[in-house]
Amino acid sequence: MAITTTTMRQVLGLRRAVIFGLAALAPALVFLLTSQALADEAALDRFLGMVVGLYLPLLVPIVSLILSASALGDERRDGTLSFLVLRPIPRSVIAGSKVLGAAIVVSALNALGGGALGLVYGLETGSWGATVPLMLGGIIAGIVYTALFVPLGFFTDRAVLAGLAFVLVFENGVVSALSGLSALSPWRLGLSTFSSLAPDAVTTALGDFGAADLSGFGSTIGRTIIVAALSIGLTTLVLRKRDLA
Amino acid sequence: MTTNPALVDSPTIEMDDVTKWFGQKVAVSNVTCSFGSGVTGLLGPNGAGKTTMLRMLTGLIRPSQGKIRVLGVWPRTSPKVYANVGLVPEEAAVYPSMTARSYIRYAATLAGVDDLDGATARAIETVALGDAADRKLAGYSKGMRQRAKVAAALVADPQILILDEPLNGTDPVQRLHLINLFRRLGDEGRTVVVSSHVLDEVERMSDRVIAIVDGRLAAAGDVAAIRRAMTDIPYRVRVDTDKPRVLAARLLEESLVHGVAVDDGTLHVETGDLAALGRRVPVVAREIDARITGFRPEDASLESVFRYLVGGR
Amino acid sequence: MSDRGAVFDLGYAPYDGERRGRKGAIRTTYRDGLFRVFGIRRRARKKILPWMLIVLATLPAIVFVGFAFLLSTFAPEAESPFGSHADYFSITGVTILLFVALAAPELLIPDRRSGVLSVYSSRPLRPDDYVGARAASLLTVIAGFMLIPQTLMYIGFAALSADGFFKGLGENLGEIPKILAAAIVYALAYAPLALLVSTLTKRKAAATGIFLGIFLIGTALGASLVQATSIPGHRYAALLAFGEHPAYVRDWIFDRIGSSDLVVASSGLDPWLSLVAILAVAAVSTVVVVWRYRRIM
Repeated sequence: MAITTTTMRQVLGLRRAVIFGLAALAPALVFLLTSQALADEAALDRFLGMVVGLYLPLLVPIVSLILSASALGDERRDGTLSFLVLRPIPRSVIAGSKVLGAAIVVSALNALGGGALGLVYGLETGSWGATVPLMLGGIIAGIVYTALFVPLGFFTDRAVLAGLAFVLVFENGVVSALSGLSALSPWRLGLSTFSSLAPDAVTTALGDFGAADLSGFGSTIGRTIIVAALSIGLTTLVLRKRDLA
Repeated sequence: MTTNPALVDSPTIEMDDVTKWFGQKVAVSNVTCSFGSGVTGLLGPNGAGKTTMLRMLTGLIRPSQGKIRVLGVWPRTSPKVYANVGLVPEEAAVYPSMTARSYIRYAATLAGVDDLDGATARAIETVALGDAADRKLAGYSKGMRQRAKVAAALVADPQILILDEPLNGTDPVQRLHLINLFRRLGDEGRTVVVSSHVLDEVERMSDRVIAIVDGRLAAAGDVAAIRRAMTDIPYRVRVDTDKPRVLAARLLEESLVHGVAVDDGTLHVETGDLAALGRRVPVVAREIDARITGFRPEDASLESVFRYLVGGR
Repeated sequence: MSDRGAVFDLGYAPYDGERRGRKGAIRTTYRDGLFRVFGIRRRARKKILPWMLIVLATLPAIVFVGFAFLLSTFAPEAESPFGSHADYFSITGVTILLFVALAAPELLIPDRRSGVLSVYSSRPLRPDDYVGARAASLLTVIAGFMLIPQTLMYIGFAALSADGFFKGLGENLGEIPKILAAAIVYALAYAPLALLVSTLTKRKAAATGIFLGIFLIGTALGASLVQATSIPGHRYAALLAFGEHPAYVRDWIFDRIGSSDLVVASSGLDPWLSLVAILAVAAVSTVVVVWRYRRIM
């Protein structure tokens, strides 16, 4: 628990909390400014435009990547890894705590972003059913990014660049063209969650935004759990097998 | 009882034919030694492999070859042993945004200490951080950080303490305080391994020395014994006498004397057998009616020993 | 007089070679910057990303010339469908952006984190010189990134010209100033902001993420906010689309406005406003970076 709380403080200091908090609220703010006096249908279109144009494919990956890559990577580069690992604690617990700490912070920020956007949409239209699904979608996508980038951050301080290249080139380029690959796109797992849990009207309208070949909620949760478990396993392996100084 | 000076009876840490290479560079080569209670100084010039060796002892890095046992186990696979091991690494290893107190308390928490507040306060007192303990580590001087790291290593009351250049950046008062602390911990029966390239510090702290040169074990034991073991290097002895030139000429006839020099009225003698020279000089002096007022080996200090070891590369 | 202390000649020789002064220090810092960005004299791992991006930026040019060659051989009458010089900036845009996100933090952050700025300060190098040399390294790299493939294409297409190589070179002479101008615009749009983020951030990973975030999120925000029809002057929100300004100005330079699907274009803003936005961000970034380094060096 101590490692988890310390990790949370490490990855989200005050300055980062302000910057990322403001960034997380940006989609809600933009939606608020652009949805005045729109009919419900047009507001839904604009809301979903924010979800699939800004929140899920850009904001969630960027916030998640920067924060999660620093969870273990900063320990290594600051020379504090020895402080952490030379303790009578199994390496799996250390790995799990690091992933968990990063995931909590990432989830909180993504939930804040999704929640605020859903809230503004609810205030504008009186439809509140999309808020919690959107928060969950952001959380799921964030957890998957975190699971992938906590161990990658250990290996290279260029993990964020590699991650963003992955998001820009593969997820937002290749997968957009070949929707069959959507299961390999973390933010689309978030979109699947949102799509599965949101009211029918929202899910139907999402079809116009290219949200094809999405997996069901159960399958998404299953994949997320598998990725998280693999990440903890890989991080444990790294802490057990690699030279740590 | 072991006869190899590199090994100790009842070891807490054992290295068996340990080698570590990084790519093409061999950092530590075929080192076999052990550590037990008391303070052992790990000595070597910069880049000799001291830090690599200490990192291997703690399990931070794996040996490429050979075995390491800490309290009978390899720490990587038996992390419980870390409850009894404290490391003070050479690099920063502190969280700048934490206060020293929270840092030490975090170390205590991770080590599973029950009385967190009490143990933290005791560790702070031990290293005399006092009022500064509630300041952020980011604002600490290097010496104060070193003390905070020592406190964090001590907070769980470990049986084994491994310190990599722990006196770097400390001022003379802090230095004396820490040296006394390490000595006291050694006297309490703990295994204290201290690396340093400052010979004076090692001499003041250590009961025993392990010298590493170019990654290889160059010498082990107490300083006098190591010097005695250097049979290929003659001892240099200063002899104070009222007839230095006459005594020098007479001593040159002795087979145990390798050479003599008279420098500003003082006689310096080189010999391969210090004890025999000590017995022979008074006899010869009596023969020539010279008076001996001093007989002192000049190169039995750790510094001289180390110079010989490193110079022999 | 005292005979209790003496200094002996141990044979150490003071440096008596040429002292190259401030200019030499600037040159060395500049060259070190280039080496650092490309991972030269560093571990192989540090070389992977920069060289991969270089290949990504250059490969399409080679492919285009290759296809043009095949086309000229087997179907000489056909018009080559492959890239104009203006198009090529779009093709390499993302690669250049990624490279700048990689290079700028590498140039500034390690010096601060490892505390070697004081070593620079103890040389005849002034803070402005240091920042200038680092910026020059980055600008050189960006220019190389953009101009090398353009040059390849220029020479390649000229070599395939039906009228002969030199005629081919001469025919497209007018493109050269345009290519150079567009390259300068891209460099000014990316480099100063990247250096600013790297000046204000302690970690390379965060600097990379924040820089790319500003471009990506800014562009997305701009695209969304221009729809806020209830707000007067909403179309100026397109100025937030940092990622689009260089492309819009490039289209202006190549006289092909309307050929790209850009928010800044569809919002009805004039391209000179995009140029002003680029120059303003570059100027403010430069001032802040220099001010900051004057304080810390």
